[in-house]
Amino acid sequence: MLDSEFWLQLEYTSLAGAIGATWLFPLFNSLHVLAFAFMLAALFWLDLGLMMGRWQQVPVKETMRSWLPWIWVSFSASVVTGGALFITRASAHVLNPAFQWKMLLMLAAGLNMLLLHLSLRKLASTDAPGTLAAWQAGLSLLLWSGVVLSGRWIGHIV
Amino acid sequence: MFSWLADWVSSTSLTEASRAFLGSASVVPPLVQTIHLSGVVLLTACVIFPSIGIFTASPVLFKYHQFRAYGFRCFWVAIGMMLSSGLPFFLARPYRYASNPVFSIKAGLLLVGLPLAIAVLLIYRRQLESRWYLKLLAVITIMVWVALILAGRWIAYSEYLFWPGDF
Repeated sequence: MLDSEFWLQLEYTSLAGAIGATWLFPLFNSLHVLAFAFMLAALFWLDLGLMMGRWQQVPVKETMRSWLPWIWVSFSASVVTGGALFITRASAHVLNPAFQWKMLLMLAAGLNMLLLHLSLRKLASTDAPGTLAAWQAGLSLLLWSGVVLSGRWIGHIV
Repeated sequence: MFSWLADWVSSTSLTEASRAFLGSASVVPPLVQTIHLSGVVLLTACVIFPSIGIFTASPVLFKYHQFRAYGFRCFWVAIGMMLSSGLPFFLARPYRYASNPVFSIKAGLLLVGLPLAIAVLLIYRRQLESRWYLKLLAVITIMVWVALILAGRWIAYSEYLFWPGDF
């Protein structure tokens, strides 16, 4: 599946050609880094709020209300810009172990976030996050650090 | 602009030491870059978001108590991470950076951005009300720090887009 013709066909689309051969590539790369920085920064405050909120008795809903819109908007922008970068070298990226790790870690981070959401939905609006939520927030930071590392590593594997 | 610095660095053993460090294992360059990018994320968290809070006077962001509690600590950790992880790359190839105009722009923006960031964090520490001049300061801070983040990417891109073959 990874060495399928599909990835090559994707690479040969006119859109991929236009991005890869023009100033659009550095533009999308810059926007990708910016969107990713905003997403991780919002995630940092959310996770810190969930970890520290346990001791400072900050309501979960307040922390979530502050940061979830930022996370979703910047995550969407990261996906769009990342997708634009991906199609320019799709066949090489899917075989790149660093890229595979990045996708795997993003999947794990997403799953962790989903479980966190489900557990937090049960809490009342004034409740502070529990021990499990604090651990999941810590795991989230760890997993996203792994995503950053593997993302940087992609360019070092030719 | 920084050619005197590049001359001095290359006359010491720092360049060789940095090259040896960065080349010691394949994981070292991406790891150092990850530390640099994590510093960028922390700066976004503790400078750009508080600035957005002041500019929009949003009840959610501007009253977010964590900015006051952790803002300065987060800021100094981020600066430490960025400087310590950026330095090995500069020391390893001083002429590459010294002759790059985007690097000079980045250094200039950093000189402006540091006092602006401290001013924004002081607004939170002293719990000031959001006034028009503070909003102006916040929007300038956002622009400077976003430009700083983008300048990091464009150091590499400028080499082949605008001056191919010169580096």
